[in-house]
Amino acid sequence: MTRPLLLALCFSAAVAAKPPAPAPAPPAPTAAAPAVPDPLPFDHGAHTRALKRAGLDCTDCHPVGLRVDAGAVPDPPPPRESCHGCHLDRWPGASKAAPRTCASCHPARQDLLPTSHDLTWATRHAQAARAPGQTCADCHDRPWCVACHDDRGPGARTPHAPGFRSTHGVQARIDPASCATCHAAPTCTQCHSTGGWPW
Amino acid sequence: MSLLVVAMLGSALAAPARLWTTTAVGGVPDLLGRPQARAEQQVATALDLGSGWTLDGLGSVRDPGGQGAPLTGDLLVAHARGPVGTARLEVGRFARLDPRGALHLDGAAVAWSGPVTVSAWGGRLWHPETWRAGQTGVVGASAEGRLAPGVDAAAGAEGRLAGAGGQARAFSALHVRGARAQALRLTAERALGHQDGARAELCGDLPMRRARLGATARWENLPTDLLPTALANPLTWLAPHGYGVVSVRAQRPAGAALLWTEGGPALHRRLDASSPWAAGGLGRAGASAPVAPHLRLGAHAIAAGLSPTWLAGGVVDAALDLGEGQLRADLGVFRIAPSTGPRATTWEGRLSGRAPVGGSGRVHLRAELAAGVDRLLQPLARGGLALDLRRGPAGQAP
Repeated sequence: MTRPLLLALCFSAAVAAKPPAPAPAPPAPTAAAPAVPDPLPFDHGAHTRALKRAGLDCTDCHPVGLRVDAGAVPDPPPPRESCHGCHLDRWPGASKAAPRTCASCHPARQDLLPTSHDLTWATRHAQAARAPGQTCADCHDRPWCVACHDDRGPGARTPHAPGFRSTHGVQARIDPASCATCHAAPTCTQCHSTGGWPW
Repeated sequence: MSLLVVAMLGSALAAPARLWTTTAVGGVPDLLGRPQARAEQQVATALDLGSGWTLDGLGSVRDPGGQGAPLTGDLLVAHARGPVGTARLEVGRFARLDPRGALHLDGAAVAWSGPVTVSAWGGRLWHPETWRAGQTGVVGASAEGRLAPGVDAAAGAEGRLAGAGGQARAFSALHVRGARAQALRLTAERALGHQDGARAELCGDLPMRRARLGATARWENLPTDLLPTALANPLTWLAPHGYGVVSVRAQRPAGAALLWTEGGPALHRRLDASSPWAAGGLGRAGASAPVAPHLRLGAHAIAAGLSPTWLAGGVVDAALDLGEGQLRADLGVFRIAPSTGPRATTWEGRLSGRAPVGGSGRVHLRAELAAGVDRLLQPLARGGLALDLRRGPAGQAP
């Protein structure tokens, strides 16, 4: 029951809010970031001051090939990691003052759903989540995983802990709504009325 | 609805497409006399239709090997999503996310995102396990918005109609998130009409420097049987009059090991019993640690009960993870007092593995062996082999 709720509420954190006031000279994003509005509401001066207080300088946001012409759009624009480093708390020592408010740059929450999260994602996400550089934590926090994968042992690959076949009767009596997140009556009757094994 | 999806599929013939097909052929012979075999071919597609529209589809053909019809084929899901002006439209069979969770809708939904996100939806409900649409029609609308930085709220209303009668539902939700990922969520839903009921959940999460604490309190009594009986969920007969459950969880790393515990009480209302309430609860605690490269060992203990049923026991398990290949083993022993019959000691052991065949990463062999004694003191033993063939993009889609 909690897994979809967590996803919904995760997205609710990205619900469109009143956009910040446009900066005087907003740098426009490129087509490489289609989910970010154009022009991006971004106050470069405020960010510069905050980042200097945090001990960061220009090259932390503009790591390579920055060409600065007065009044021009930075070329190339900062990579996504430059924003997410602070706003998703992914850099050690990053400014804690950076709000984790997805809606500031992503006013349409639906656009945040990655194209990979299609109908087959439930059966494919495990491999991606284990991959180096995975970005699950951009949107999902730890309770999101735990809500389904509540078995934290070494075999924590399914929502059910080892031994669940023996314990599921009592656990289902205690909290049957948690079963109903994924299962309907046929799951129960497949074994309890026919003696067959679900496979 | 279907016409629109079909029309969009037709327009996508020349569009960039991602296509997966998965074939699983295998057998699960029960070594004590109930042999089974199953074959399944599943096709999943995600077509980029251009202009921000995508079309997802999922279908399968399977022989369930003696369970149900001998050969079944299903177009399980067809779902299109994309922008219409400043709104976003979804049609087909899909899961619509809202503050209550996922609303599985065979129909259409539209959402407009501005300072407040306004959504409306209509169609029939379907179940994510059976993939079947029921007879319950639903139409609803909701609004979600930000009250303050880190504070989001939502409210909505919904009407449902099935053969037995109509039902009105209202729901609201509040989500508060702190700067260090502390979170508090409150969700409430009320149903009136053909059947009355309510559900409420308060969930909090408190990450600390190394440990993490969380707690959930829920009351569950939403009616579920507006759906056809075949789709009813276990709540219908296991807790027909509602129940409350509280769960507190904590986890903390200790060196390379992870220690965790969780549990809490439960209280069920029983109108047809001598006592109007039945009390129970669940507690679990465990630890796991790497003992060698790619090898992790763990153990956990569990005690759970709901008057008059209870169990207590423990499990040890091991996992060898070599990327594409995995090997798992676990052994659990439990003492169970069922609601009927004598107390029994049961055990269950499993050995399962998955290994790649060839170097493509798209062919895998799966095997499982299991044995034990169930709560009726009947021995069980089974084993099986399956071959998974997968075509299409490997790993995460672009």
